[in-house]
Amino acid sequence: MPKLPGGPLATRPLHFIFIADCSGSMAGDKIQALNHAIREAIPHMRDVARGNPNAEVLVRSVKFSAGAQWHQSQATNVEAFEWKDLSAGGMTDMGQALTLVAGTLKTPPMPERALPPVLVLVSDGEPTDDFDSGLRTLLAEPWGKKAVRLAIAIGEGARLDVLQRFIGHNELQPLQANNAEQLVRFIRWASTAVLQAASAPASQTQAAPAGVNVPLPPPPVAAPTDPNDVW
Amino acid sequence: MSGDSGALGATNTPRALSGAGHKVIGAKHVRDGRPCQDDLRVEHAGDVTVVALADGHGSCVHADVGARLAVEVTVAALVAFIGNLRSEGRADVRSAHSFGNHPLRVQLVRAWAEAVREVGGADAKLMDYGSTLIFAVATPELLLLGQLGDGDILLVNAAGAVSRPIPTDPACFGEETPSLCLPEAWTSLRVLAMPLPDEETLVLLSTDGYGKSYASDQEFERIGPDYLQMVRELGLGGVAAHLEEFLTTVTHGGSGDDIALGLIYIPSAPSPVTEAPVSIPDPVEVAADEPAVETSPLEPGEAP
Repeated sequence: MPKLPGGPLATRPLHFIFIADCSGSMAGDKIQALNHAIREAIPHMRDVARGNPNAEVLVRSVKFSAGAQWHQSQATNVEAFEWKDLSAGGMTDMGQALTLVAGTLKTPPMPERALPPVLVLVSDGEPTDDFDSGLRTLLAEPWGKKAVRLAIAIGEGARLDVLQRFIGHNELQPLQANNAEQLVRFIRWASTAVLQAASAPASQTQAAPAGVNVPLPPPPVAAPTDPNDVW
Repeated sequence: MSGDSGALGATNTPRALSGAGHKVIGAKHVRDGRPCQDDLRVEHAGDVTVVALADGHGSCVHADVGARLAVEVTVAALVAFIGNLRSEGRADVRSAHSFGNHPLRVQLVRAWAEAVREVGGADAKLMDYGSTLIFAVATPELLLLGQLGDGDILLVNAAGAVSRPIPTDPACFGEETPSLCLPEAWTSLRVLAMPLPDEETLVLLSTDGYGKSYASDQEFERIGPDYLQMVRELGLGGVAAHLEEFLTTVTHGGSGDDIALGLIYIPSAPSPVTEAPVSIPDPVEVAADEPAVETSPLEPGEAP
């Protein structure tokens, strides 16, 4: 065969970003459960990535409490990604976290040929900063708007209406995790079923339902909650 | 991995304009057990060469059928379009551009919808058959290009420089694209006519699975001079014989999507062309300004 025309081939990047609430109310069991759930999900993410070699799954994480920072700033191939435990304490500056994420979704450096990013927001409380401003900044970026946005509410104190606005449409509701087992299940779903859907999205017309950027499989049903095992 | 051997091949017209093309099923489609939803037709009618490509949307249940119908009706309509222009003595760039923007755009979209209803029944939902459309027509006088939705049209000149005569539609982002199945779809079909280049030129048309297999437009556009050089060395038929291998390699190492590629090779003009280039309006502006009017097929005697 003659030399292949064109430059070097490249698979399509898929950015997967955990956006984790590290406020004081997350301290103790909740933050430990979150660390465990994400750590447990990583091998399953690798399995999904290996099943679709045409997507390069790149993972990183943002934490927010008093302000927001990259917890793991380098977009790392999931094969090499290792979860670093979070610790909790402080406020719930969710808006700043969304602004931080928006900055990394700008095009460029984010290529137009990328696969839709997956943003997983996990929170147990109410934003203490300007959430609206952060959300506007995120949705002003084309990839922010086209991202698959999921939200997991930890415990009964989470503001579901805020998380619903982050999701941006009514086809999917925030996933309510009331204990560690449910959190593991939801993180696993986001990290595998959703990742799989986002890594092989079907092209679609502009008439697709607003905000539904990638058709997703149904989320897992939360098992009945043991009253003795609730946050 | 299988290609469309029926579309493979190249023949020469009397003016030595030649066309070829090929499609392959995407690596992801093979893994998922989905059919190839891209389609392609190459037609030579006398000295007219037509290449049409279509990419059915994966979200549509009959995407492969929609793409097949798109290239079938487009090739037939374009051959008739050029024939009608010629019978009227209007096979010039200005007329092709004018008629191409109106009524051809409306005719193509309408013909596709009618073909869908013939196949799927009167109650067929166009949304189930959604597809993009890209085409090129080369005659000894002119080059007519059209695009609805994502994908790429590249022109490569004799020096190997690549240009995009129809700019990327800003409505194409991520996996979202304008489609033949949407209301007023004809307004998204951008048509451009230009004089047939005097210098050697290669026209490349591809569905988005090709361009998305490279890290950047610049890396992708390197296919332009590479294919041109290969055509010079092997002839278009020789290149066509390798397209199955090329495109299969690209989908596996790149996007994983179906890929269709069409080529039209225009050798250098043997003598200077007398027709001066005309000022052509921006096809996007033309599309935006034109009213959505009902039209009948272009008939001899119809005024531009």
